[in-house]
Amino acid sequence: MIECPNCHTKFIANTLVCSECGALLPPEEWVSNEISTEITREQAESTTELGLPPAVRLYMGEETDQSIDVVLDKKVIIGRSDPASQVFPEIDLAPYGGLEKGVSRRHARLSSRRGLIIIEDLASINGTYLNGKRLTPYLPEVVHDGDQIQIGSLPIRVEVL
Amino acid sequence: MPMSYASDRGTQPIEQVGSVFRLRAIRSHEYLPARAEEQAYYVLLSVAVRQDLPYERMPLNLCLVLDRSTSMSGVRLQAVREGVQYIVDHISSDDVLSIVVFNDRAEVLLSSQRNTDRARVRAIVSTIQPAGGTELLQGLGAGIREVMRGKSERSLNHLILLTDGHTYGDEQGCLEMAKWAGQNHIGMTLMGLGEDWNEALLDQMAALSGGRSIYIDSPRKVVEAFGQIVNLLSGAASRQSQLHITLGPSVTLHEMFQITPEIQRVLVVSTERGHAAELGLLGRDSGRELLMEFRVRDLKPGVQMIASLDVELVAPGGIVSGQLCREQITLNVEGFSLEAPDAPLISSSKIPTAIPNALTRVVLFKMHERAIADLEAGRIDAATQRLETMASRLAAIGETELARVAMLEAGQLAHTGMLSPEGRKKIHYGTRALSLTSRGKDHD
Repeated sequence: MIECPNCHTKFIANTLVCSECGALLPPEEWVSNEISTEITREQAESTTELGLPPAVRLYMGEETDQSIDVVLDKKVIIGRSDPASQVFPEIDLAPYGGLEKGVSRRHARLSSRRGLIIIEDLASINGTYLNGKRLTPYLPEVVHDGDQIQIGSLPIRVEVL
Repeated sequence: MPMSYASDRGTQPIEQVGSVFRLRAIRSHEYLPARAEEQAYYVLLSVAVRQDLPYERMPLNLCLVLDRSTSMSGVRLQAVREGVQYIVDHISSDDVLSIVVFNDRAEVLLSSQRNTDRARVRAIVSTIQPAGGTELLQGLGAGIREVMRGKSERSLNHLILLTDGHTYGDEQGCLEMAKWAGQNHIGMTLMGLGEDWNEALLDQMAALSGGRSIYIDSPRKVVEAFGQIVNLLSGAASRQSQLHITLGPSVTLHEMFQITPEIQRVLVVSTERGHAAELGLLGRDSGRELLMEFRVRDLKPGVQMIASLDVELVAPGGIVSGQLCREQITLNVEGFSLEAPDAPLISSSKIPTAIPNALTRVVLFKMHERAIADLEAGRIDAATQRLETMASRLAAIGETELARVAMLEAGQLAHTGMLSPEGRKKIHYGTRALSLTSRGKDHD
């Protein structure tokens, strides 16, 4: 079974679109957990950085004096908090004008895999952009140091720590 | 880049090109994890008649069944006169034409005949006077009799019914007649003019006869609508076509929708060979796209058949006249073990965007159906909410005009507990005409 991230209706595996709210459903990633952690551990051991999870500093908006640091030891959601619908993303863009800038409640996701930093759009209405290119929903892309991401119309510069 | 997401194990379309038509299947998955749990598998099948065939036009056997109730007076009746004139001007001398008018009774204005005299038809049509109520079954019965009289071995039989009112008490008879027509190779186009007619009835009649129902919001569009039907019929390459489906082990067909020319449910019946669906008239400019959702459980490692799709049609014209043409595509999926070290990492990049795009439109169609069901059961809040959700999804795929109508109707519904007759028709027909080459942004 899979669950719609938007309205929480449950569907059988591989269903692609939610029939309740019309949201695109995230496809399963078909790799068993043991394998993926094993690879991560291998990858981590082969690096000299003691296997620490990657971390990024995100500079919000055009003025770059506002920033937040995020450790990517798990998948983190970028979005806009909305107490009415009980949505509280890890990276909350509401204080940075998220509503006016077209940020969805669950807009995009940052994670790390095999030492790489990954961004995914979560079928947001106004889109996620990486260096000016709009991302296909649920298609992961690699983020590099100095890359510019855009959530709705809010630009964010990424610094890898 | 060590990203397995970019692997080339994506799905490729399967194509089968025959002497008369071409099948193309876009599959959601080539690989699925082997597991007991039920999994969805989608296929978008397109059926298109080849453009390069030696071609002989099928003679038409056409009956126009026209409402002349009091509400048709003025511009509506004038538009219908012009529409009839257009048809008379655009059929060939081999074609058979008949004209029936009806209110609470039917009258045959022009009995089935070839070599229609244009001046005579003009004179006859100018005598139509509006009066009385609307009884569809009267007109339909007289029309079918005329089509049966004009029928020949090779003819393409079709009835065009145009009405602007509700019929009362004879709905069941109309449905039975539509079904009979479908079984006897008489296609139907059911046109509703204005806002005051029963779209559910015309839709069901269309589904039973293998035809279409059409909403004409203004009398100015009557000629255009008549023109489209005559063009469609003139370009027909087969009177009817069938899809036969044989399912693999542990596979079920969950549902099937036609995506083009317009979105509608496809009626699937059980047969000796498995399942079958009527695809109706196929033409050089009117192919079909069908979205099927299969469900597979207990998938084992290795290649397994999901289904075999078989399309059959009788080619009436050209060098292959009268010949049964048949093309077939087999859909397989490969089950892989999740424990295997080379288990593929599959993300949405592998699923051809045509499938989620088509599905999004089917979901909008279903949301509308459920909103109307909620409304009819008195669940106004639920219906309002569905219309609002529809509006935001429509906006997201660039269907801004329909999104606007849905939003306005949601507001109207919340305040008055009713939809406006016009908004109701616009949403009903708008959701089935959602184009795949959308004007706005899509999921790709």
